[in-house]
Amino acid sequence: MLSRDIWAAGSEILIGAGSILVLLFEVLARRARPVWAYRTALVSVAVTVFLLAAGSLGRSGVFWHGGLVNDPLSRLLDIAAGVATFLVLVYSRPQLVRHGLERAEHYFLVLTTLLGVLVVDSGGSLLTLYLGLELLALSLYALIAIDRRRPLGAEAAMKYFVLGAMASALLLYAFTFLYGLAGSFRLSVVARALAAHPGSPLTLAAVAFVVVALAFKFGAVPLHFWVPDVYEGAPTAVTLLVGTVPEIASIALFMRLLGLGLGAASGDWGVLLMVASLLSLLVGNLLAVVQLNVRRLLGYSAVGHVGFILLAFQLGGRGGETAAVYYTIVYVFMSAAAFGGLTLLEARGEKSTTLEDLSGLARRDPWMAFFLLCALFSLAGVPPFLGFWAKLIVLRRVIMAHETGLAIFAVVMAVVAAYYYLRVVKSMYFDPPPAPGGDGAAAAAPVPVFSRVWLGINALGLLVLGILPEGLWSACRMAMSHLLR
Amino acid sequence: MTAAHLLVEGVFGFFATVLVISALGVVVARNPVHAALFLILSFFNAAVLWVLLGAEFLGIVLVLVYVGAVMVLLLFVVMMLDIDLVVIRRGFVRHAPLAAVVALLLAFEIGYVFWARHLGLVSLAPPLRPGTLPNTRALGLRLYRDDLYPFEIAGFLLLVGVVAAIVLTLTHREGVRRQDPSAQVRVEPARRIRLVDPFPKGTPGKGGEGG
Amino acid sequence: MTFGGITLSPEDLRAVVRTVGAVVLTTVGVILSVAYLTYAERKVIGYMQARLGPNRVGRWGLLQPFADVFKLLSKEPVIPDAASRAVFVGAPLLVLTPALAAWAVIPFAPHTAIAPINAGLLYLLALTSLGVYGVILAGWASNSRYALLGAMRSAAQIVSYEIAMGFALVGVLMAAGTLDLGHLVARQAPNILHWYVIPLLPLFFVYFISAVAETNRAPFDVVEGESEIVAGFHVEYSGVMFAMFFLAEYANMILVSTLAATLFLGGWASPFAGLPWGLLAAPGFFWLALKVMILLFCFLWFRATFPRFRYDQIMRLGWKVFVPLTIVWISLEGVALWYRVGPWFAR
Repeated sequence: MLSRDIWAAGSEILIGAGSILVLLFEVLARRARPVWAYRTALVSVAVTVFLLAAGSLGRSGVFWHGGLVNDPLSRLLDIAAGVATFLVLVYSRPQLVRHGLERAEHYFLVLTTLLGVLVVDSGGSLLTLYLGLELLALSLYALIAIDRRRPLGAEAAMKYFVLGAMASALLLYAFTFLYGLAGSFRLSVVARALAAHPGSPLTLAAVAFVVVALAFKFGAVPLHFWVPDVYEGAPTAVTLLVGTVPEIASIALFMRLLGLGLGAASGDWGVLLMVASLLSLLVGNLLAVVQLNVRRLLGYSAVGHVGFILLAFQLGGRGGETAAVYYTIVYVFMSAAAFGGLTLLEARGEKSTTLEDLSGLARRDPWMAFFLLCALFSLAGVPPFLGFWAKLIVLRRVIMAHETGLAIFAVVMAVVAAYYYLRVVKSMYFDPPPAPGGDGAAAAAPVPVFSRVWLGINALGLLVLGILPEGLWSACRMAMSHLLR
Repeated sequence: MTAAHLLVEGVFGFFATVLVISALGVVVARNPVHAALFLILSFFNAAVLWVLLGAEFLGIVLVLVYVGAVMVLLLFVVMMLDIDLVVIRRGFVRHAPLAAVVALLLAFEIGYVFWARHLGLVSLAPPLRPGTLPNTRALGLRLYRDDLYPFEIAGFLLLVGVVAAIVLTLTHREGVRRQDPSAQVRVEPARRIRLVDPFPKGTPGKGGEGG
Repeated sequence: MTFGGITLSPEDLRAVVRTVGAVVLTTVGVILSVAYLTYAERKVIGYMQARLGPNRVGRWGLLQPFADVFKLLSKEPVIPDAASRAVFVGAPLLVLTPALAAWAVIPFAPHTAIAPINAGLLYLLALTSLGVYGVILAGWASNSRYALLGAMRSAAQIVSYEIAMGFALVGVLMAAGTLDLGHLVARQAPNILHWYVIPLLPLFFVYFISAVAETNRAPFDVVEGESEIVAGFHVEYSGVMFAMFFLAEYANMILVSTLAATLFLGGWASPFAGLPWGLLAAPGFFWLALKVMILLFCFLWFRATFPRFRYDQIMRLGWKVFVPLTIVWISLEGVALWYRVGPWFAR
């Protein structure tokens, strides 16, 4: 019984062991450079992803009295999170080395972030969901502030921490209501209790608090204030992480908590989510237009994408939820390519803060410019790219639900989004490079081929999967058709 | 009513009263050290109440962890601060109405939950009594067997907290003279002391033989 | 018997009387032991330093402790003007009370303890961790620089060593599988090989050294540090209140020695148990007292032998040596438990 339950948590154990190993390297072999920590982290993530994909890890079923639920969805999200973390590690190291930020603790915290995501992905009880979320959040707080020479980073971490603590408190408060209602942490029991007491004011309070907390974690309007600040303030390598891996935990949280646990109250949270989604689409995309800082631009655009995800999710039902999961996974890899490009630019010794810094990039480094172009086109939803299908599927769901007004609004906002993404592309391809003599060009150094190749795979993958979109979509549909709780 | 019964009631009432009074004391005390002391007192009383309720393990651990360790550290810090609470309290009167409204709201919510039968709370079974198992063993089985998975995650959470605190505060400044005990231990006389013969053979005036 | 509707059965009454009697007996015993521990300290250290020690009051100076007590009691208790009065007066009580209350769960002989509760070890841990408040508050309330410095040192030192000490106790309770001190001793009783000091030798050392540190005895007495901060936290105390600090320090020494004897050295069990030696092999209070005395002698011996540690050395020893050592040993013990090694871990 016990050993069966322990092996069910195999992927979590592997990542946890990897992170401990990273720490041990740092403590016991201080002269061994952090590159060993990096290699350990990379190998443990790769092995976990491989074993998950091969089906040797994470046997299906409900374990730990409902605390751990392994189903196709958790496996899909785990694999996505693992691959994203792998890419994050590969992209971020050159930049960390160049800026003197490479420390074993950085890789440890990246691994614990992933561990938090894995726990949330397969969390079947309020307890494990909360613990996973906190593990993820705590690692991110530390990572954002890790560069002490950057006051902006400390400020961003402070904002994120204080607001995040509030959100956690709200979530816990909601959990007390749910526990009081169900007498158990298990989501299945909670769902049954909710179905037995429809319309109880306690449910309403719990739903409201849960939605607020989750909206904060996802960065949906009106709780999006931390997003641009964190994206701008954190070290680039950390922004890369913040913009990708945690999103998977967010959608998992939405699926598990709202979809499976509070599904009976979908009428209540549907309205709240719809409002949040419309506001996110509007505010995120409009504010992104006026940004000159690329990272703030991507931050606001992330808010806009969250709007799309919530738009699909609030429809309720498996169809909308599947679209939301699909959109999230696609978004994570688009975001990884975009931020990965920026990170590698910094590793070359260039600045990548403002639009001006990027101008003329196509002449300086055509490949990098092309990879960024793929990522941005995909984010904008230009047809052959993967991002197009994600938007299309969401819109189709919305229209199928006879919400034509919403669909038209979303399309308008997508057009606005296309405008500012294409502005970045224009700056890369058609603007003259900044006058030479600046320190940027002089200090240019080659980027390790390994990182460039992976960025290429990531960016071209967006194109190839866009041309052959069937695989990922059917994987999502498969995953969503056999949910456990 | 038997003596034992009355005793338990009386003890509960006494400690509950002291708990409420000391909790009030935390809020109204003018001196931060006194406030901390009141907090310790209220922890202690809460622990006694838990023991009376049959949760002796939790009660003792509350004393052990909060009173024995956490509050010592808090006092450690508070004692070193020169806090002028009058300055902190300047806005008290201005914010008092808002605070009162919030407090009333909370009181109403709590009362409502207890009062409203239709919320479905009554359908809950009363909490499980551990039965014949001693408290400590029951908790141990829960933590280390049934809920090992969340327990380990919580352990990781604490580890991340430790690492984060160290990463964010530990600096290796250059040029600070530190003791290195292992280097001190490794010292050998041969590397520290050089025996010099002040009067090598053959030099005039070599001492010793003259006495 | 009935008091206004409350019935009090004869058994209840007898139990109350018995408990109160035991409490009084124990307290008086502890206070007398403290008195003669101070005498022993002066004698032992005297001989170690080739002096005679007290020899004027009574035969061989045997009445010296009482002379000291009467002297202290007849002195004027001074309360400094700038002191925080209530806390200043309360602090000595806070030190003394836990040092006396902890005796409730100690098994003096088979089936003989004032309150044999089943979480006895935890109760002890909780109570011994309270003593530090008296020290900290005394230092703070005195409103004196030296006293405050002593209090800060005390807080840091006790928090550091509490962890190692707690871990050492975790080792014992892992081996015993119980928190009840009576059972814990009974498990060690069969013969000397069952004493936990054998499988847990490093933990015993960690525990005993931490105990020396927690009682602020030499060589860990930076809290008082006569040569640096005069007398540390109790520099402003005099008369009865000083006597209470004094009493508490020595009562704590006896307590931690008793605990070490109970947890690691078989408590009331005879070292010759299991051998056919009649009375010598029988368990009893005598054996506990003997073990405690041997440990107490070590306390005095340390004081006469070792120079005082520096503050940072104390911290280093606690955090970088004891804590890792205990964690490693507990892990090893876990393995030994799993494979049921020796007579200690076989269930």
